Amino acid sequence: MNLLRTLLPAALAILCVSSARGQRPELYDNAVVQDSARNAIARDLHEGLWSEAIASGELSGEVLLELTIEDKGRVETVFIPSSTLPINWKNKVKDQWMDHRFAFKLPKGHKETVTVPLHFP
Amino acid sequence: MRATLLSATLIVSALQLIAQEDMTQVWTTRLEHKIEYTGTDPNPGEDNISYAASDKEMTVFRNKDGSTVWLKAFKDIAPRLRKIDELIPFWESNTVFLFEKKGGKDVVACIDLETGAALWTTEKYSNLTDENVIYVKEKDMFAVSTTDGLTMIKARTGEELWTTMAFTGAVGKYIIDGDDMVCVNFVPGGLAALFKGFKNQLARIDLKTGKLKWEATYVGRAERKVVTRDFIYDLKLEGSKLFLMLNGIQVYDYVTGAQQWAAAFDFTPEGITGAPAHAKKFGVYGALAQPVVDGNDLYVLDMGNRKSQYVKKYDRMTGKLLWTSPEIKEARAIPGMWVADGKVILQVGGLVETQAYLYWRETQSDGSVITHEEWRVQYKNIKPCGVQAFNVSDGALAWDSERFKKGITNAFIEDGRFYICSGKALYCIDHKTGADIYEVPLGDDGVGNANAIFAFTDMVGIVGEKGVAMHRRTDGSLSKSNKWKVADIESRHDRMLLMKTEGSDIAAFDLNNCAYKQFNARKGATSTLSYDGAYVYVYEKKDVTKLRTN
Repeated sequence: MNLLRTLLPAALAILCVSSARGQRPELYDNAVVQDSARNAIARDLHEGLWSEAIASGELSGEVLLELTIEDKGRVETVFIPSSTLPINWKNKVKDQWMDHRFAFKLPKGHKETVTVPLHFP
Repeated sequence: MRATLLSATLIVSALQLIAQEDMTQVWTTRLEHKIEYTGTDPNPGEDNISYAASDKEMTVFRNKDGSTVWLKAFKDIAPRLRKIDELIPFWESNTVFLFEKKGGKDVVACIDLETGAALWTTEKYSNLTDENVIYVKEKDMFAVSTTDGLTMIKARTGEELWTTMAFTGAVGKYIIDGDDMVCVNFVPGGLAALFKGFKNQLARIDLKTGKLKWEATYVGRAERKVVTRDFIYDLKLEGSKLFLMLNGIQVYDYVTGAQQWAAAFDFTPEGITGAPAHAKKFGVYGALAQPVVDGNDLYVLDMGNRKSQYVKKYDRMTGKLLWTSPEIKEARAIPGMWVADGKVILQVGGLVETQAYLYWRETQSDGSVITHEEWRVQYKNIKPCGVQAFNVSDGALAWDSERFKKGITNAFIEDGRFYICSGKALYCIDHKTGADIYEVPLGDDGVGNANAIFAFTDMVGIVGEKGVAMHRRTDGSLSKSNKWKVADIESRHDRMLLMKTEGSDIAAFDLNNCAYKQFNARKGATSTLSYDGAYVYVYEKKDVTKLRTN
């Protein structure tokens, strides 16, 4: 937890600086990768992704995403270990971040798996 | 004496009549719609179902009596469907995929075959064909390959477990080992441009999560046949070794995916015979014999060079090359290879299978346009022909036969002897020495030149250009023969051999006595032999007919 507290601001700072310069930082630590990915997804939702469906109650429940990210920061595999969402929404949530490219990269030939729990609403 | 002769003549005539009667109809049913799509359950069972469909309606009927299980319009099955463009059955899962193509927004519906109920529908997948979808029986899931990746879907609910882009192209042959799937990828026909960045992959995938445990590359094109959709290669797992038999053999460590050794050669058979006019897809199959395993020894044909070909012997466990045979000069096809009694015997030249999908448009005198579509499976004779044998000990040429220069059939080894035809004669050869045991001309058979042979009980079965003949293996003498029409083998189930003409007429030969029963179908009719060869289902216009083959 302490480690997260230390790494989180550092990761955000790196992301902000690099995106300002149009570059993608190379991340070496799984905890930082996990945090960056979770933040990016949280940002998408915060910006209004599926807001209508959430507000109407159509999208309601929990889902756990397991993303495998390849060295260019692209999501290569999405696996859903558990979900209480309706099937159509489970499939939609899985597809949302498939092939998504995060604003970071990993060491060449390296892959990282991150888990992202989501709760709707 | 006269009476005896007359009786004998009558008996012979009667026998001939029996031998050439039409197939008995078990039932015929007229559907309420025309038939554009058909499917006959290929699995064993007395109470199976089959289907026939137009682009708007579908009927599922019982094979036993032809009674309708259900008849539904597609729009009533799934509201988003109107007119289907493709229908793919998955018999093992009792489901059928219906496709309506809507220019990049295709509707796909998965239907329960027994009830006609829609299990799930989606608009996510476009340009799917039967090559992009496989049913993984062990997990009751579909693996769907698109340009967006490989997705694992629960068959009955449509729930997607995972998607990965780490595996490109479609899933070819695979092995399920617990929760892992080892599979070969391939580019589905006609979609090569869509799979950008495609690379040959052999991968071990964790089916629970979609993660690749390892991936490796392979040599060759791991495709399926154009019409019958059979795979043209094999994948086998033996202990910790994974064997891919494609263009030779490629061996991998199952745990790490590291390639241990390979004896695979670049060979593309398409050039050995031309594609028919209007062919949109074309393939040549069976031109190169599969590797032969004999204990720890492995024999592989090296056809990588157009001018010179070789047999190579390897230690199957280590990949060590033990010997290379002398050149087999200018062989364009080597469809057969056998290892027996210290000899490697090769059939050079002979029949190879071609499959083509033809499509063309024809403008009529009134300006209207007719489109033609045809799926064709044919056999072409490839020369030069011959038989050669090499010593398994050192690879030296043991004997070479020149008598098959004008033609050759396939061959087989039975009773410690080698059987083969030149087209005009049947030969029984001592493969240890190359000496003839007997040579029997086939002129008296009355079925034209031999196209193919097979072993049946104590006989050599001969499929001629116009019929079937049976010869005793002991001395090659003719036992029985029966002439029919110019036809190709459609399929064989034990003693029933189904022949089909270009005009779709079929005849089922009983190999016990060469008697046949025939059915004159309309050109373009679809006929399917039942799993046990006892019946033929014929689909034409609006009618489905079940016929007894014996």
